[in-house]
Amino acid sequence: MGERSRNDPVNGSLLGQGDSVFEVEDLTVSLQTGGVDRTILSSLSFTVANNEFLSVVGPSGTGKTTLLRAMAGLIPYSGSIKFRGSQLSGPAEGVALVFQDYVNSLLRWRTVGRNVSLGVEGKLPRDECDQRVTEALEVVGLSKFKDSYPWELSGGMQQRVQIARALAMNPQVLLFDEPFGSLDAMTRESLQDELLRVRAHYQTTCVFITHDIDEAVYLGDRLVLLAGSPATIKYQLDIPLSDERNQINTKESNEFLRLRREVHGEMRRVHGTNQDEV
Amino acid sequence: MAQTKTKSRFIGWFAPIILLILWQLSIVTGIIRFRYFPSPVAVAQAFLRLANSGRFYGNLSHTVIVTLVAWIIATILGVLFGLLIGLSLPVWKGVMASVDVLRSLPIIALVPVGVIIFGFTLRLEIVIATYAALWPILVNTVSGVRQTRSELLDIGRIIRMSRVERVWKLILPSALPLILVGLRLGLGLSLVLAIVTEIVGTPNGIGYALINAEQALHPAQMFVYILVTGVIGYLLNGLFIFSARRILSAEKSAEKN
Amino acid sequence: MRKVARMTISRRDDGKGVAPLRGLVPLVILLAIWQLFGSTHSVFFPRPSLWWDAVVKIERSGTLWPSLVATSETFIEAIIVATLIGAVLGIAIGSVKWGDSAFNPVLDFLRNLPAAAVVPAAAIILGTNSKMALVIVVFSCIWPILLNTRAEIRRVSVVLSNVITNVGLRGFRKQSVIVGSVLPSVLLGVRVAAPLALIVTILAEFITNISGLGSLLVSAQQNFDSPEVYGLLVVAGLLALFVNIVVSLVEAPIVRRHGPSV
Repeated sequence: MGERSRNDPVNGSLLGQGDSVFEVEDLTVSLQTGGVDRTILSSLSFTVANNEFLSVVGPSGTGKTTLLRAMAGLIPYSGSIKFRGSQLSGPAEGVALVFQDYVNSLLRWRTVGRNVSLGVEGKLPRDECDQRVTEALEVVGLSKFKDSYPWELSGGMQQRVQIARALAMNPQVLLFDEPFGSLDAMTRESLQDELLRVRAHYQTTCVFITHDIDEAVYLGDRLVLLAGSPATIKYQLDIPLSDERNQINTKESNEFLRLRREVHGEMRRVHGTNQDEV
Repeated sequence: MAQTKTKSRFIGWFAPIILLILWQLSIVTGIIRFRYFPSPVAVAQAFLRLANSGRFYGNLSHTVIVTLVAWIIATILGVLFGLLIGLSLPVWKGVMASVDVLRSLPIIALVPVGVIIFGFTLRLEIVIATYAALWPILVNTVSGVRQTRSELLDIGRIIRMSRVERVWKLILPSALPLILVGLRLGLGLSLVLAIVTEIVGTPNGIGYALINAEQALHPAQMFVYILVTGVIGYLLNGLFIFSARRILSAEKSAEKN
Repeated sequence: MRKVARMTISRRDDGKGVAPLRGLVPLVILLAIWQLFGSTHSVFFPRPSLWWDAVVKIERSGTLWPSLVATSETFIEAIIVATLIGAVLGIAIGSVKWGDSAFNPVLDFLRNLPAAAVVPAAAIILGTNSKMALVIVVFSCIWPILLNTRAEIRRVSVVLSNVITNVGLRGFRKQSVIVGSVLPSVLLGVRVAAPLALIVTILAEFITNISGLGSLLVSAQQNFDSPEVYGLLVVAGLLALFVNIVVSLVEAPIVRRHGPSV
């Protein structure tokens, strides 16, 4: 099961472990806000390795979402973003995005099942499409709710529908935009574990944006700290925690605490006195 | 639970009946003394007489048909142009202010313009009723389309839907509730303006019959026609809400299969 | 740094917002073409410059301003009366537990009664005068105010009655708290009612020929004086625009203080 994304006909990549999925070089993004061109991101360079879980942290309003939208091919940029070796010039096949605002990201007039099938319907044969939906729903534990409407579910469940929708597309990369930001602490923790499980199942590369340092460290293989205006990469860190993580043991381990302290320290250093906001 | 429901339904019938009785009493006892104010009994008698005449149904169906035809034309034009304006920011910026000016012209002041151009014809009735119904449909379609959440549009692009698919699968369904509100308002306006043109001079329909009854000094008949217009409005509105719910739930059950 | 990709940004504004004035260009172009290529003698589509001449002619004859004043008087009186009666009835029906079930069918029916149909009846019963126009206009524009007030009272009454009991308000004080809390909804109702009231005012004048903008329109139409008809249409449009501006000016400070309702 572990190798399935590499055998997938849609994504058909033959990348080996360790090759990079994303190569970002000298990325600069300017957006118009209120008629004024504002540079949001300034010459970022980093790579995302195949099968890697990259956490991107930074204070609110730094442009983390902008970075993700650029990587999703949704906004114009200058510099270079290479996805699987070719220059990105629009939404690419094999990239899926999970938004923070699950209420507005799901189609309220479609059932859970039909929401999940959105990305594959019409592109795959009917039975394969059904199979993808069934599998994705099973992985996120929502098989029973296939015929419910999103608004009938709790926030955490709706977010799982969104994740299932992304998974059904069998993406090579999942981009997460603070997906658990508006959930309560309990739900958030259980979804974090679920995400780790799901990722192990699908072997998907993940880029995960959050402003919660604990979450970033707990989930990530590597962490990038974004700060400043315009934002630049201030700091990168490998997270050598084992793949078997759980809320209590991992979060109480000395290694976790050390990494957490280090990131907090960096954050305070680059962000000055506004650390409370973080 | 069931008991309170029957009770409230009973109360609902209670008020109109009491009002009718008060109305009748006040006229019989002469508390209200207007020369041409008919009693409910007289109105009921007039209704029975009219209900046995063919003309009544002719007028009734004329008004209803005009209302529906105008509304359907307005729906097609309104949704089409609404999509056109709502989907493209440059188009919206380029024409919306003109739309706002045209729709805020008091529609009634347009009737004489229509009369000059078309005379008192069926075409006048349909054009005026269509014009009135068009604006709420168009404006609601525009805002429904423009209020589509940016998340949905992003998803459409990430899934790499075609433009048509995006409109059909994401934008139209998410705008549907607002469009339905526009359709309901448009239906009401279409009826009102059909009746106005009939009252003003188109020689057909409920409005025409009503003004005839007035000129012939038949207040009871006139009240019948007023009540009939009320009933038509009430029924069309109810029918629309009923079918809108059916459409929405049909969409839901189709999804389930 | 090299430009790699040009893509359109799909973010839109929230779909509200005021349309920019440059959107008037198509209308202006239309009128300009009309002016340039329209015939002086066309009965159907007289040139816009003739509209202006026609309005000036009416003004010279001394009937324009009195008519505008008559229309405005009926309109303003009707709005005031409808607001008072609508708010009071709305509060009354909304505060009584069985209010909705008792009055809903009647209200629903009356609300759906087209004003146009009621005008001739009112004319024959009350006579053809401005009193009758007032009654008609109040009757047709009271509904949004009444229904909005009722809905708001229903919404706030539970919370509010707790507050009132807690704070121990009585009598006049209690009434003023209630009125204060529904004020934004009443105003929202007035906002919907005002354009309607103007239309019905003109309609009543139109059908019964009592003096006002509506009767000017009818006589212009009956004389087939099309420039005058178009000119008066523009006058009516300006009046409607003016009403809209006044309503939003009055509404703005109150809504700001109370927060937007609905």
